[in-house]
Amino acid sequence: MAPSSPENDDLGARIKAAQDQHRAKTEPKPRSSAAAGYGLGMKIVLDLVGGALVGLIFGLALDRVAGTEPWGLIILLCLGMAAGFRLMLRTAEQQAKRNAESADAADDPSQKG
Amino acid sequence: MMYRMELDPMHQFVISDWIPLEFAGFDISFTNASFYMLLAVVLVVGFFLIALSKASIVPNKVQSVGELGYEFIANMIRDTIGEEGFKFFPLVFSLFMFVFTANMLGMIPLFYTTTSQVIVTASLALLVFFTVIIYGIMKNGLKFFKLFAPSGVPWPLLLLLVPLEIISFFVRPVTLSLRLFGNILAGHIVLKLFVGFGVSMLSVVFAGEALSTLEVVGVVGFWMPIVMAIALTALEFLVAFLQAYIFAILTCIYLNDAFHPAH
Repeated sequence: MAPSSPENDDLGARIKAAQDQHRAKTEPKPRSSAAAGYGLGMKIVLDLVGGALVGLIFGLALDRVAGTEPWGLIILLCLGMAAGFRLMLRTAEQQAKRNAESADAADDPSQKG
Repeated sequence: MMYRMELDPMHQFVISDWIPLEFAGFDISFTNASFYMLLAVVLVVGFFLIALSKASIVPNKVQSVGELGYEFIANMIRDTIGEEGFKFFPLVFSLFMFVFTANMLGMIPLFYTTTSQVIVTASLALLVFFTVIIYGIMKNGLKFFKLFAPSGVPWPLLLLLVPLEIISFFVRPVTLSLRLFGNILAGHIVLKLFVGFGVSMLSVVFAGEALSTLEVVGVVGFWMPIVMAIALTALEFLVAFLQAYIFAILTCIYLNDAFHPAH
C-alpha cells in the first residue's frame, strides 16, 4: 500500500466520486415506466394464477392421500385463491407506497438522487 | 393451405433425443435441451477460466467483463441481504450466469432455448426454494417458522392468516419458474409467428399460380411483419437479460427470508 498522503487521499476521493458517478449511470433502478409497469402486471397475474395453482395441486394431493374428496380441493382452492389475492394486494400496497415516495421526492428537489 | 412445419411457431420447442439412454425405467436420454444446457455451462465456465487465467490488478478486456459480472451480483446481494449473504454468492452467481447464457444462446437462430422448458426453470426455482427452507431451519431453528406468522396480529386472525402465508410461501417457486418460462416461451413464439407470417405472405409467389387480389396485397406487404420481428428481436435481447436479472434478484429476496425470517 502507498503511504497516506494528501495526494493519495485526493485520489481516493476522486476514485470514489468516479465510482458513484458510474454506479448512478449503470444502476438499472430508474427503469422506464413501461418496463416497470409490465413487470408489475406480470407479478400480479403470476401471484393470482400461482395461488390458485398451488391451492389446486395441494387440494388434489390431499384428496388423493386422505381420501377426503372433494373437500380438500374445495377448501384448499379457496385458500389458494385468497393467498393469491393477498399477495396481489400486498404488491399493490407496496407500489402505492413507492408512488407516494417518488411523488414526495419530486416535490422536494433536495431529495432527488 | 398446406401445413408447413417450418412455419409452426411451436416446432422450435420440440425435444429430440440425440443419444437415447434409459436408467431404471426412466428415460434419461441426452436431448437437444441437455446439449444446450451443457453448452451454457461450458461457455460460462470457459469464459471465467479465460477471464481469470491471467488475472492482474489492471484487468485486461476479458477479465474486466468477468469482474463486471461479479460486481453486479455482489452489489445485488449486498443491497438485498447484506454482507452475511455472501455465503450464497456462488449460488446466485451460477444461477444468474446460467439463465443469462441460456437465454442468450436461445437468441441465436436455430439454437434451442432451454429456459423455454418449464421443467428447467422449475428445477432451478425448486433448488432456491429448498435452499431457503433448509438453510433457514439450520440457521434459525424453529424461529424460521415465524415467517408464517405476521407479527402484531391477534391470534384468532392468525388461524386464517397462517395457512394463507404458508400457501403464499409455496407460490414462490411457482411464480419464479413461470415468470422465466412464460417470458421466454412467449417471446420466441411471437418472433416465430411474425417471421412465419411474412414468409407465408411471400411464399404464394413460388406456388406458380395466378395471384388473387388479397395475395398481391400480401406479396407487396410481406416486409412489414419482418420489420416488426427485427424490432421484437431487440426487445427479446432485453427480456433475456432482464429475466436473468429478475430471477437472480428474486433469489436474493427469498434467501433474505432464510437470514431474517421475522418481517
